[in-house]
Amino acid sequence: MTKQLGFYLDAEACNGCAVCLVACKDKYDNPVGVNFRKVIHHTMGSWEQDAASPGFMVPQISAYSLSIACNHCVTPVCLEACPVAAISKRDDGRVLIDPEVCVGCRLCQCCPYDAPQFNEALGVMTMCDGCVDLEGTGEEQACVAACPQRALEFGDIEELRAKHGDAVLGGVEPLADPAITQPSLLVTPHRHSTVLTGRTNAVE
Amino acid sequence: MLSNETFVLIGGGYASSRTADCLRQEGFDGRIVLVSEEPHLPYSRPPLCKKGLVSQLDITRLPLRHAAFYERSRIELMLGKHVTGIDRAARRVRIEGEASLDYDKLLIGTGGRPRRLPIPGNELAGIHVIRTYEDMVAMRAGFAPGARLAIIGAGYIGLETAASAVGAGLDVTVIELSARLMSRVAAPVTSEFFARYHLDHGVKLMLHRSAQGFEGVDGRVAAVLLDDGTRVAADLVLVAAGNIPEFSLAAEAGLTCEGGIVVDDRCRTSDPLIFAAGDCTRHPSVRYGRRIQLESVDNALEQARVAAAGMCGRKVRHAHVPWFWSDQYNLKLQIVGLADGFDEIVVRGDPDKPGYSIWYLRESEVLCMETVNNPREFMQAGRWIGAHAKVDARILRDAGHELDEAVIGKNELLEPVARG
Amino acid sequence: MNAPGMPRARNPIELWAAAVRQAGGVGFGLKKEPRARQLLGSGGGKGKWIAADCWPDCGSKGFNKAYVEDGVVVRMGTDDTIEDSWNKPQLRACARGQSLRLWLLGADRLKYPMKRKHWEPGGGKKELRGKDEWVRISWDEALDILAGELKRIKQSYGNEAILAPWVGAIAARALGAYGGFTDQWGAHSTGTWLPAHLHTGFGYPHWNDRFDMVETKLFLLWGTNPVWSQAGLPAYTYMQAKRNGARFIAIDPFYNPTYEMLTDEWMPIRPGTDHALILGMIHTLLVEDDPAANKLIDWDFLNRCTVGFDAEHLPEGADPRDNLKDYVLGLNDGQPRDAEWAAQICGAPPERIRWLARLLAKEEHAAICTSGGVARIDNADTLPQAFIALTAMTGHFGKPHSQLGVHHHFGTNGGPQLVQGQNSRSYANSHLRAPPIPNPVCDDMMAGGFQHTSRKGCININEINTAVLNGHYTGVDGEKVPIDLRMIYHAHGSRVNQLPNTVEGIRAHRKVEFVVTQNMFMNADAIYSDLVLPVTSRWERDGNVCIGYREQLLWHSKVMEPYFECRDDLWIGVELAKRLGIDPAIVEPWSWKQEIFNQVADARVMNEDGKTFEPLVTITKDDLAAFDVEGVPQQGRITVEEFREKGIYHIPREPGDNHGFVYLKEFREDPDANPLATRSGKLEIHCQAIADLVNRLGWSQIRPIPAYVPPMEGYEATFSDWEQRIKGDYPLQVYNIHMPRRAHNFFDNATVMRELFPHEYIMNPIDAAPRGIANGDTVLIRSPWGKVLRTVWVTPHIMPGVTILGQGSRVDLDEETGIDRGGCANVLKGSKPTGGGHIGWNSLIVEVEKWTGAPLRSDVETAHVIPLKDAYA
Repeated sequence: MTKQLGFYLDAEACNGCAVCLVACKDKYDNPVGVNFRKVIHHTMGSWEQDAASPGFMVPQISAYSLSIACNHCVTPVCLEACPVAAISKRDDGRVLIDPEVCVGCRLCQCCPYDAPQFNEALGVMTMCDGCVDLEGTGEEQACVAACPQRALEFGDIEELRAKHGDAVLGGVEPLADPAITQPSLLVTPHRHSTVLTGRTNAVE
Repeated sequence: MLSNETFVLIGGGYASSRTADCLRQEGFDGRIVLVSEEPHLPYSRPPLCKKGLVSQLDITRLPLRHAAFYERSRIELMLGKHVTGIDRAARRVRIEGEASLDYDKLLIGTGGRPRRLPIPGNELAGIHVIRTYEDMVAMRAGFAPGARLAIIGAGYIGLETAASAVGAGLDVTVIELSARLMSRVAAPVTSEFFARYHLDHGVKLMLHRSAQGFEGVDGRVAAVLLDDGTRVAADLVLVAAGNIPEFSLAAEAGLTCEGGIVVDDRCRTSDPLIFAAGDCTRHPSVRYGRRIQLESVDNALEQARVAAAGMCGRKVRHAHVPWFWSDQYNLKLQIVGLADGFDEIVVRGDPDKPGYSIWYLRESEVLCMETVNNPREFMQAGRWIGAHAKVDARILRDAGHELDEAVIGKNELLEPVARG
Repeated sequence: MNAPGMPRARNPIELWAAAVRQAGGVGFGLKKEPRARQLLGSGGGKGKWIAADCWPDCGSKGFNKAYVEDGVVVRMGTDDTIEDSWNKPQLRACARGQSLRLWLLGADRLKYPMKRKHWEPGGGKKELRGKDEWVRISWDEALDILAGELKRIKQSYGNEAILAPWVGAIAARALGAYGGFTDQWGAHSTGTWLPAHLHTGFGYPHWNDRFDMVETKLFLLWGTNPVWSQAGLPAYTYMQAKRNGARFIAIDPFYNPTYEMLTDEWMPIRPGTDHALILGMIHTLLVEDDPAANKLIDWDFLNRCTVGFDAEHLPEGADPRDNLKDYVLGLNDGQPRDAEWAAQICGAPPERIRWLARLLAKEEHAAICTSGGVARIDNADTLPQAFIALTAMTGHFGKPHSQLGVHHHFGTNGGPQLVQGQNSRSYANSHLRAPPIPNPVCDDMMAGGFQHTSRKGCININEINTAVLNGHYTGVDGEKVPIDLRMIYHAHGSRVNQLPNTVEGIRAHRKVEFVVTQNMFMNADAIYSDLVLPVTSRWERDGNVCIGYREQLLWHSKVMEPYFECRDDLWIGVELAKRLGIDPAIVEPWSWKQEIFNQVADARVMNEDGKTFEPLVTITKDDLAAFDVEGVPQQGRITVEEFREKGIYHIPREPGDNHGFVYLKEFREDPDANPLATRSGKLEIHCQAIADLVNRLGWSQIRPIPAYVPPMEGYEATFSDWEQRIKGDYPLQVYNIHMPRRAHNFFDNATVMRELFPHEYIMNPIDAAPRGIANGDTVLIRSPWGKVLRTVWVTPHIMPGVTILGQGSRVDLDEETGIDRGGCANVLKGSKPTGGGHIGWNSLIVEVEKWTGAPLRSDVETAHVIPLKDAYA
């Protein structure tokens, strides 16, 4: 591999507005139930009696959103699970599903991030491809260009890591342990995130 | 719909997991309980005899769906629990160490168990089968460069293990009862092709031989004894002699069984409230007009889809063209259809190189196809088999011709219909 | 046959795939186009991007463009016309904007004129409105019917009998010229802020410039959620402030996504209790302030610049008791409005109230950023004065990095418009260089414009339906005005769905002789009509010009040909004029194309000096010929072609430039030299004008100072016995907020929006559990006025005792049970007016129970379609 492309998400800036999801869905004309990008809303906490003022309930809650698509993992489980070798990893690190080879068995739904999405009308699995069709056009990925909080970036993971020193590799709750698939996803964690330590993604 | 019903799924593999998934997609809103005797989330088995043996492959990379999927889909999991019986009259499932579970509908997806050889010495340590994650971990413990591995059975599992082991530096011998590799599923040409590959990689093949016993030292296996008197020294043995469908629960419950749980083309058993799917079933093949039993991931998934629909009252036929695959070295063998009843075999391409394909025809109609490293032709074959397409063998045989050119006559099912 | 601009019907491969699957066939390996659409981005380069209007009235603005290939819109995009930076940010669209093509070309988009099968002149079987069959008719027949009914009703009953509530200036042109019609008045969005903006000196707009705002150190985000409501720039601006070290406190019943992004400090209070909270804070500051040792109150500003805070600073002629200080301290009635008193009402512990007051007072650079929502409360007429008092006394008016900001409509970036043009609202005047067409029934006010205050010939929005049913409404002086309404004409908005008491509205629509709706969608108005006219959207006309935030001007072009048989409002007006004997040139003095070009020509941009303006575009004779319009060449900053092609102009900005703005700065420095437009010239905490306005209408009686009045259906009303705190029949409050899926009715039917943002009723587990309600259950919500079914989201994000039902979802009434399955909040809201005649949507009380019938189907499954056989041709 010459490089590893991936996403950067500033989870401090993300407010779950989902325009990234709609922009992507619109670009690919995806039907109901097929979403290459997903917005996860994570809530923690509850209400309690206020210690200082009996009779008053006060909240102890926190919440945040994460926007993720395909993490173009270094060791993707989807690729290994595919029985017909429809999934491959490109030289630039992108993980792609070939719709002409896919038989729609859905075994790639083992992905801990729900990246592969079954398109029932076409009978095949479909997935974020990092807007590979826009390569060389100067146009940014649909989600990146759409975000009104400028919370998303896409590019060489090493360059993104150098640019965002406070970012961690994909290991923020409720996302899966990054040690499993080594996602190429850098996240500046929201102040309430629990961060899982994972192995670093070395580019091989 | 049906939000106050409980559907119980017995089994922790592809059939159960996919049935649970499909039930929610069907719109079933009631309770789903999946009971598995294994302590893990339903997981993928193919890597167990491949990458799993030669790497630190961990169970965390194997689940078919991750835990969050079951949570958000409200699918309850009872893992590591053994179902001891089905009380059909009371519509209840008995579970060891747990309260019985009432069901409105039941799915049996108990899969199969590896066949063990009832020969002397089979209780010695170091003799393995491979079906579960624990089996793999146990066998992997004995993997070290130079270790001598004897594999009994040259089916998919035996050969995949051989390929992985030899790549990890083990000294591998494959012992096979029939005269060729993968004799139950592949053409002689393919057997030959793979045999050459294995031999080139240093695997020793002992064909047309059967294992008669095991020799041990201090309770540990030391050799396999063959029918011709050969003694194959071994530190480690894998018995990969096939899979026996697991249907004892069904049989004890009085369901019709015949070497497997008998189901119709909607995966219904002889009890209208009980469905079955996967390796444990004996089912009709609409395409081939006879009853079959298949050990394949694809069949489990397809039957699960049909069973889920049926459990929700929707009529969907299991009218699927079965397909199979095996990864050995950098070769992907893909087989679609069933060859029984062929009257002609066509070899397309050069059978010495990956990319060739073998076509089984009956009266020019494509029944089955097998190929190595040619996924596109595999896809095409699948469509033809489903459409009962007829082909001209002369054109098919000639790799210089595009595959499409071999089809005879107009076939509606193959053309996209311009509607709307 | 596909109409131009329509998305492809299910493509042939999908249909074939479905057929094969149905046959139980191959099950895999379907034949597909070699480069399946998933792998195509911008259509392979065959099409082009066109600036596409997004006009629904959310109060924000994003720039949208549509990619059009062979006349079909295949994709949406947003602003990439400039390099993005905080100095000059791209005006990015929100999720709604991105769903424009899916919404606009969706299954409920009207295609043909239709009439109700059992209609006849006079009404026919009026009781079948809403459940009759539809018959497709020609435009000729439709216009003949409309003209015929207008003539008959005018001749029999007079123009006042025609009710055309807020139809927008374009649709109103012919009606105005025909003698006029009865219109509506009253504040929808602004609640009780509107009279305040007119009379207290705290005007509109009033935000500081964004470069000033990001230096603010403390924000009280008070009952506001721009992330959902005014998506885009406001949230981004707050983000910059946060990165600059600002602290945010959220005061709201709901911990919403705006707060999630910005703060953990959430002080929950009940809807309609903001006034009580403010009084508790004012009391705290009054008793704790010590000008020498603990300065909390800006007495200097209060004394110089306001009236009403204390007895020493009252307007002439005022009752000396009517001062805020005495009232708050309890000197008027023995009840101090202290933190303990406020806590009982608003639900925040008293110590938190005191803490908040001190925090606001001690911070030099603080802003209170609130919304119309806090004032969309019955009886909240003097709430704005309370906010003004709090801001004034804590020293946050007229100083850098401090402010009171209300309505995130073009909020977080205030000051004079730097690029001047129209606001995008369709009810604004349509042909700007011509005088507006007057409405004689309403004392010649502009026909179809938005009328805020009581006026002759106008019915308050709360009384629209009862006026039809009961034959009278409240006049300008509170008198009972008889009215015999015989016809209802809808255009532009949605009245049946969006006015309170939808069930009452449906009864009203079944009473009159004729109902016509002219709209793009089969909305609730159309459903209960006799005649439906399909209109073009802004995409199908010759473009539109509108402002963005103060720094952008947008020029949208025509995106596609008219959808099926849709025609535009202006054409309908001309055709109507011909049939009514009106000169068509009155309705259409010049073409829409000419109008848009005029607006482009008239657009002006502020120069770097921060004072003077110049024309934005240069126009040459060749330009005029190329556009085929009349005009005069002029010199400007950019070429016409550049503006048209890009679709948006951004004025360059940087911190410290001459375009900064601090509201009321000059007033604070010298109030006598810069008097405000109020009776006293000062900021009026004591505002007689508002009291007069309210008391004259007669629905309520109020004092001129912000004394707390419990809302008609607020927290107190959830008790049958307030003193003993015994809960009554409707123990829960409903917070009726804006949801991300919609801008009012708009976008609601786009399947992507219904999939992503289910219209859920939101409850706290503390309220749900005792009622046996679990997350995902279907629940029945009952108010004194109606019943609604919804699926519930149980979450700690909402305060106990309070629930949320978002506004804007289309009614779907089951007439047998009287239950609305569509989740329309106005089915639950009563229409009794209070105070100044605003709508108090956030004062609403209900009881909830688990539904034992069939669960509601998903919003995707219940998306709206048009019940007409030919609708999908």
